Amino acid sequence: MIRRLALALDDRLGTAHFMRKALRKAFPDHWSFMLGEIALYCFVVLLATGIYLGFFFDASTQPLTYDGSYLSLHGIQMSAAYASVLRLSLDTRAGLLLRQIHHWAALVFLAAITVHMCRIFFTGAFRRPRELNWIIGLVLLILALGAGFTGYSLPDDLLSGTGLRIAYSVLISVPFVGVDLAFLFFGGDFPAAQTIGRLFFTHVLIVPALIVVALTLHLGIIWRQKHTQFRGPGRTENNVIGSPLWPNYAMKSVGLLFAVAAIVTALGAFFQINPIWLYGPYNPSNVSSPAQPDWYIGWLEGALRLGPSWDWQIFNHTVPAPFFAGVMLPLAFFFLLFVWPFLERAMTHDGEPHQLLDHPSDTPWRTGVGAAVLTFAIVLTLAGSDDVQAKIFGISVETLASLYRIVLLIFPVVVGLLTFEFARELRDRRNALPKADGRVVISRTDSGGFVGQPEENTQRPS
Amino acid sequence: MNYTVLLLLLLAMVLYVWLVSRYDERRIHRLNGWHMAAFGAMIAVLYLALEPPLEPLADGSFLAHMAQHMLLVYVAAPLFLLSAPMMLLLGSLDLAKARRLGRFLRGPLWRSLTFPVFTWLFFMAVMWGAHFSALYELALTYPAVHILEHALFLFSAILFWQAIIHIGPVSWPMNFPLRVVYVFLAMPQGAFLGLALYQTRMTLYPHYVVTHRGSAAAALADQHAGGALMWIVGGLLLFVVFMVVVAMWGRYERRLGEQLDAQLDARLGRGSVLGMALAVALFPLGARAGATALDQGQRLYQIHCSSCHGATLAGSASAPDLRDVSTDAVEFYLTTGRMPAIAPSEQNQHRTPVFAPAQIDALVAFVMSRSHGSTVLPFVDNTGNLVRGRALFIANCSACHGAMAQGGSVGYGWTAPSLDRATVTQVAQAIRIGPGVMPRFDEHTLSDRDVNDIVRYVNVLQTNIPNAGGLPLLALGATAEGLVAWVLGLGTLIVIIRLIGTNA
Repeated sequence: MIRRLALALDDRLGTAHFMRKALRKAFPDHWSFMLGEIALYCFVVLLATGIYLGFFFDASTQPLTYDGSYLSLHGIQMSAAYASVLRLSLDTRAGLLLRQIHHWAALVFLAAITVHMCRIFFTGAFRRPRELNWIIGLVLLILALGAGFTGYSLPDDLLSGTGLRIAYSVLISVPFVGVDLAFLFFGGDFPAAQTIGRLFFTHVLIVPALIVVALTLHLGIIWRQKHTQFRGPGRTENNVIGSPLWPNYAMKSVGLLFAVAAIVTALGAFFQINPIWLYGPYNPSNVSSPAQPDWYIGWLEGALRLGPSWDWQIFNHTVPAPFFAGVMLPLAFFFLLFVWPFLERAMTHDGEPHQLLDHPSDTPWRTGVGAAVLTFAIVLTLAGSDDVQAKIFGISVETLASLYRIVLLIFPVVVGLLTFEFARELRDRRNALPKADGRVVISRTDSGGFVGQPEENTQRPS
Repeated sequence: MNYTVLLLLLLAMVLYVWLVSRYDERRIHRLNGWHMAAFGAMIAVLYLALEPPLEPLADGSFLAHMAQHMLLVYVAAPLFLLSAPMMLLLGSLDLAKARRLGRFLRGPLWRSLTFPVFTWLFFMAVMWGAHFSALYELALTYPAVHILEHALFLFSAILFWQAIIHIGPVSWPMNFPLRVVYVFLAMPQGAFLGLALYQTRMTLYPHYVVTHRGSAAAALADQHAGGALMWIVGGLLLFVVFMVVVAMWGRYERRLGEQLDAQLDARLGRGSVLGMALAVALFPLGARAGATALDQGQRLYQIHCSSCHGATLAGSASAPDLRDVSTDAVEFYLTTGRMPAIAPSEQNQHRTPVFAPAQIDALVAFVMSRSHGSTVLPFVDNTGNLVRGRALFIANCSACHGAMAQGGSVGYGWTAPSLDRATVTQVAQAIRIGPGVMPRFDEHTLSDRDVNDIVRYVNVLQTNIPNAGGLPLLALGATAEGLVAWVLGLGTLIVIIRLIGTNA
C-alpha cells in the first residue's frame, strides 16, 4: 500500500531520488542536540491545545453578568473575555485540563528555548556559517516571549491585569513615542476596551504565524548547513557522523514528541496553574499578593524591582525610571546577543567556517562571559519574586532587595572569573596530556622501570 | 593542674547559682532543669578541655590541641547558650540594670554582632584564619596569646551558635528552613578546613616539630591526624546538630497540626460535655465565680502582662496603653496566642494560646474592668453572602493577605499572616482592631454585614478552597509554577533526551 503510493508519487513527481537522500541524512546523536526539539514539540502541543481553547475564548471586554457554576462570582459584572475563560475552565468538558496543559507547555517551551540557546552559545555553534541561524533563533526567542506574555494577559483576570498595567507603564516610559506605542498595542489609555481584542489577534495569529515562518527557516537552514557535531574519533570538519534520519532518528524524535506531550499533560492534570477564578475579574483598583509574571518575564520584573529610581529630565521631557530597567536593559541584553557572533569574530580574527563544536573549556573567555551574563539574568529572575522569598524565609523585603542589588553587581563578575579560571585549568590540563592519538606502547627497561612511547603509525585492530 | 582555670570554673558555677537564686521567672520565662544541666555539662566540658590530661598533651601534639578546640567550639559554646545565660541575666539583675542590658541587646552594636550572615562568616574566618596564620604559632609560643586565641574561638563560636539556639531574647530570629540552611552551609566549611589540614605537605607549626623531637615527619603525621579529627568528628558533630534542627522543625510542624486539630475539635464542640455539666453544676456559684475570675485575671495580668503594660495598664515604651482597649482586642491577642509577646521587637505570630479559655475570660474581665474601651463585637455567624464577601475580600484584604488568604510579605520585615488558622471571630476582630501594621476597618469602612460576608468567604477559602486544577503549589503563584516547569517539566525531559541520546 505505502509502496504503491510511493511508487505512484515517484512516477508523477520524481521524488524517489530526493527522498532516498533525505531519509539517509545523518544526525549526530548527542543528547544536548535534542533540547531544541523539546521546544519544537512544546510548540506543537501549544498549537494543538491553543486551537481547542480558541473555540471557547471570547476576545471581548463587553461587560456581562456572570451566571455560570462558580457560586462566589454569581451575578458579578465582568468582561466577556473573563467570563468565557471561567466557562472554559469550570463548565467545559476538558477545558481546564487543556488550558493547564497549554500554560505548562508554554512554561516548558520557554525553558527549553533558554537551555537550547545556552547549549548553542557555550559550544560556539553560532560561529560561521551559522550566524544567520543564531539571529533567527533569537527572533524566535523574542516571539516566544511575546506569545507567552500575550497569552498570560488574555484571561482578563486580576493577576494578568496587574501584569498588563505594568507593561503599559513601561511602554509609556519610552521617551517621545511611548504613548503612541502604548496606544498602538493597547488600543487606548489603559484599561482600554480594545486591549483584549488586540492581544488576542497578536497571540493567535501574528505571533504564531511569525513563529511558523521563523521556525521553518530555522530548520531549513539546519537541514541545508547540516548539524554540527562534537570532536571525536573520525569526526572532521567535512563529515557528519550520526544516525540516519529514517528510521533511527525519526523514531527517537517521534518518541520525544510523545514524551513532551505526556509530561506537559501530566503537569496539566496534576498541578493547578493560574486559578483565575480565585483572582476574580480585573479591576484597576484591586491587586492581590503575591503577584508574579510567568518565570520568563521574571528577569524583567526583577529589573524593575532592583532598578534605580532615576527620573531624568531631557529637553524638558521626563524620562521615568522604568525606562532604564524595563526598556534599556532588555534592549542592551538582546543587542549583545544579536551582535555576539560578529563581536567574537572581530576579537578572535577567526572567520573560518566551523562544523566541529567547542567544548566549553576550549574557549574560557567566551564561557566566562556567558556564565556572567547568565548569572546576571538568573539573579534578576530570582529578585522578581523577592516578596515570596521574604515571606518563606522571614526576612524583610527591603533587606532582600538590597542584598540582591549587591549580588547583582558582584556575582556575575565572580562567577564569570571563576568559570574562566576553571575552564582554563581544564583546557591546560588537557593540553598537557601527551598527544599520541590515544595509544602509547609501554615497555619494561632492563633496570626494571617503564618507558612509554607513542605508537608509530600502526593500524589499529578494529 | 591549672589552678587559675579551676578557680575560674568554680567562680562561674557560684555566679550561676547566685543568679539562679535571684531569678524572677515572672519577668521572662521559666528556667528549667535542662538549662542548669546544660550549664553543668558546659563546666564539665571546659574542665575536660582545659585541665589535665588533655591540656598538657595539647602543648606537645596538634591532635590533642585540635581535640581541645573542638570541645570548645562545638560542645562548650552550644552548651553555654543552652544554659540560657541572657534569659538568666535579664531575669535576675536589678530592674534598672536589666533594662540597660535589654537596651544594649536591642542596640545597633549587638544587632550587628549577632547578624547571622556576619556570625557565620566570622566563625569561618576565625577557624581558617587561626590555622593558616602566624596566630597559631604565636599562641603556642606565648601563653597570653594562647588564652586570647581560646577566647576568640569561644567568642566566635558563641556568636555562631546563638543564631540557631533560640533561648531568651533573640536579635535575629530565624525560622527552621533558614536554620537548616545555616548549619548545612557550615558543614562543608568545617570539612574543607579539616581536609586542607589533612592534605598539607609541610608542617605548618614549627613548635610541633620541636615537640616531636625535631622530626618533621612525625609532626606532619600529627598534623594530618588533627586535620582528620576536624574533618570527621567535626563533620559528625555538625551533622548531629543538623539532624536535631531538622527534628525540631518536624516537631514544630507536627505541633502546629495538632493545634489545628484541637481548634477544629473545639469548634465542633467535641469534648465539651464535661465542661457543660460542670457549668450547670456550678451555676449557683456564678456571682462568686465572677469575683474570683476578676481576682484570677488580676493575678495573671501581674505575672504575664504588667512588666510591659505596667501595673496601671498605662503601657510603656515597648507596649501600648491598655486603658481604652476594646474587648475585641484583648480577646484577639490572647486567643491567637499573640500575647504574651515573645519579644517586643518581633512580629507577633499566631500561636497556640498560652492561656486556657477560662484564664482568657478572667484576663479579659480584669482588663475591661480597668478600661473604658468599647465592647462591640461584630456579629459574625458564617452565614454571610459569598459573592459580596469575595468581592470585599479581594478589594480590601487580598493586597496583603493574597487572593487565597495564603499570606504575604508587606515590607520592612512585616508579614500579613496566612489566615488558615484564624477562626471566623478572630478574622472579624482583626478587621475591627487592625493588629500590628494592619489598618483598622471601622463600621464606616466595612459595615457589620460586610464583615460577616468577608468572614464567610475566608471560611470557604480555609475549608473548601476550589482548587479545581489540581495541587495548588502552596498558592505561591507563578514562582512555584516556574520552579515546577523547570524541575518536573524540563528536568524530566532532559533526563529523557539524555537516555535516548549519546554522550559523544
